[in-house]
Amino acid sequence: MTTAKRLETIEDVLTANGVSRRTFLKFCISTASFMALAPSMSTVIAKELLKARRPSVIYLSFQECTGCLESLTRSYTPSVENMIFNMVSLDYDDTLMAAAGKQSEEALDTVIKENYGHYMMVVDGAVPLGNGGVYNTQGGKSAVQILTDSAKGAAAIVCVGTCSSFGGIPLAHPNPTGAVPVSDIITDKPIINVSGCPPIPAVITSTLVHYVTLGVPALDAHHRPLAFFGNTIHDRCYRRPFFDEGKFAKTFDDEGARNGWCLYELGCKGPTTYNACATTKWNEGTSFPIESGHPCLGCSEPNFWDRNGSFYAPLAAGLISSVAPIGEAAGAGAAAGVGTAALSRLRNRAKVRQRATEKQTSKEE
Amino acid sequence: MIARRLSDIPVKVEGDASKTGSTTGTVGGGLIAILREITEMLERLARYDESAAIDLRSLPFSPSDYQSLRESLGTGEVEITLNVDGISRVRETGFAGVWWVEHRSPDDELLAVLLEITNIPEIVVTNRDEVARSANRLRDRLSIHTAGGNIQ
Amino acid sequence: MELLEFARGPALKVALVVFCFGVLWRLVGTVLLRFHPHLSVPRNGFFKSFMLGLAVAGSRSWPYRRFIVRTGYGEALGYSYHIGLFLVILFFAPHVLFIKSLFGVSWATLPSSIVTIIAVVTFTLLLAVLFRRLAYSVLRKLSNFDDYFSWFVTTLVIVTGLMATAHFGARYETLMAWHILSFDLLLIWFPFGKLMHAFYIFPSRMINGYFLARKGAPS
Ligand code: SF4
Ligand code: SF4
Repeated sequence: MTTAKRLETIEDVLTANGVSRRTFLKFCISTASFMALAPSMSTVIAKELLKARRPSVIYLSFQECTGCLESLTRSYTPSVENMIFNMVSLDYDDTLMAAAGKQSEEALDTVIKENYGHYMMVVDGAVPLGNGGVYNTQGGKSAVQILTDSAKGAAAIVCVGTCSSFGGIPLAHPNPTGAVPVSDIITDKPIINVSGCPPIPAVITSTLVHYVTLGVPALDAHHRPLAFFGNTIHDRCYRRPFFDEGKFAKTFDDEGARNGWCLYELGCKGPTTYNACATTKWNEGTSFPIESGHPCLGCSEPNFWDRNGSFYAPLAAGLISSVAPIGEAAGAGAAAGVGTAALSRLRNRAKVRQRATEKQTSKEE
Repeated sequence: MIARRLSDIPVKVEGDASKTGSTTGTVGGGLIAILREITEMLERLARYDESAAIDLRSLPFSPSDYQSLRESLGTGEVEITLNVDGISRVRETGFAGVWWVEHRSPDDELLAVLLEITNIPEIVVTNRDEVARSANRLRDRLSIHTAGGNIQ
Repeated sequence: MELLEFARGPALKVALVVFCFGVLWRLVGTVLLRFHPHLSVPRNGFFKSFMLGLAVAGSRSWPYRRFIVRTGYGEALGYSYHIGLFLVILFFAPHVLFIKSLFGVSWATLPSSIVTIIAVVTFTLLLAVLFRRLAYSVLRKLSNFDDYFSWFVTTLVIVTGLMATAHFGARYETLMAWHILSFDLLLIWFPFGKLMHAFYIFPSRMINGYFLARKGAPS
């Protein structure tokens, strides 16, 4: 993988692989349209891409399920996926590469040394810090160690998936391994979070294209590309007219569910979830979860596993596990009321008595 | 009633049809705005030879809006189908210089829909480098041929 | 923990605890207070006085005909925004879901667009109410911090709620968090300020009416 003669620019690779100018132009047009860039940007992307040096990419996997990599390697068309591999030089990926064991570790060291300061790192999976990081080791090195060592020479880090972006499922309560997102460990490098469980394939590839051509894209507060994470699912949901009309499915098989009404009452997290599902959709643009009748789980948000109480609890619900303390408070309030009233009566009686004695003394005088 | 789709939700289109020459008889306010934009782009193309494009998917259009836009623009004389990693269709509209361009993936998924205001969309034109490259390729073959090889 | 989680979780819990404690403390404390002893012979029996008391609670809640020109505007204003508040609180779908999550009961809701319109009208009325309080010197001199703060927390909940539905001013989850936090604030303030009138107003009118009836001075 690393020993082959390096083709320097993307144009070299495209010509060598017989990718026609039109195919390439079409790819740039689609990407620009997908990223909601002005159509004229497609020409800029095309120009930049052709003269760009193919960045060397190191793909690291930690606490993850490989779902994100599955998603990436199944981007919407096989040709686009190839296009991505034409554009970057994937020099290290222990899941995809042929080399294993010592060989692969050496490969990583060489890539880092040869491209120091220039390579891009793609990380999927959270990083466990508990017990000195023993819960995830590769070749005798802990994940934290590998991450910090590899990040030193990286130009930027793209976190693919909610686990590397925000901790995801490994970080979910009770987080036995002490998992944290990459951004908790690496703080001195540009980080782009492409969250989602998994992220939409085209969102991953377009983010990579944007990075290669126009640099780090505009990001939101969670370091996610605004082009894909600028709107909530709810903003673009085709069931929105029903939400506004107040028509809700109450169960998964009632009349509302069959009529395709809004899933808010069934726990939809669309209103607080930033992702491109509603516009980009899944499986070659077939549909997205809400279209299949299931509420959004909020998978692209930090702490999505725990933060809403339940996937099926409506967003408006209070996050209170038990109302007992409130009942107790009411009881205590009533008791306090009895106490106050009693005190007031006592004081009143004392006053009456005092007045009586005063009267008596004044009479006696 | 069975599951509703977005396109089944009734959309009311308002406006005065006679002003835009539409064949359907109804034109929405958004549509008029985009037709105005196209007009301006056409004027710039005529005067300064400046091309422009509109990404139709970036507009908040409903399917029926697309339909009326299509109908207002009509069809022209040229229609080109490109086989570039999936089908791309380049169609001249009833207004010379306005092209309706659709790009699809090999799975026929719609990747982009553009209105290009230009003499001829760039994806159709053959570019200089390509011409030079094919000249080289052909010359190579000829030299193989004269050296006793076969033209394949 | 994010702001929204905090608002929906711990903050809400604390607010509800304070609210329930405070309301019951004040209600029970008031009910058990000693009434002034009756020195005269009762002119009406218990039942009749009770009914007259109820009548007073009703009649005192309606403008007095002779003053209607002077008080009508204020009363109409007051009633309208209270009705608006009730409609918005009780018939907006997310609010009903909130109530359901706490108490397990729910009922029919109004379309969101209608609730939004009612909320905008209510907000405008609240502004008018504040203006009236500031514009009339008598009213202004009667007002203290309690009046203004109670107005403020109520209006804050409406404003943040409207902002959240309109997605205006910040990201939706932040607006939601503000809305719930302002409601939490309202709950905490409720038992200790004039908002408590929600519980006191009709019973106190009724009890006044009852005592007047006992004394033979019903009206
Ligand atoms: S289904 Fe979910 S995302 Fe869609 S309108 Fe309803 S709440 Fe919003
Ligand atoms: S609809 Fe929601 S839960 Fe489902 S993939 Fe999209 S963001 Fe994740």
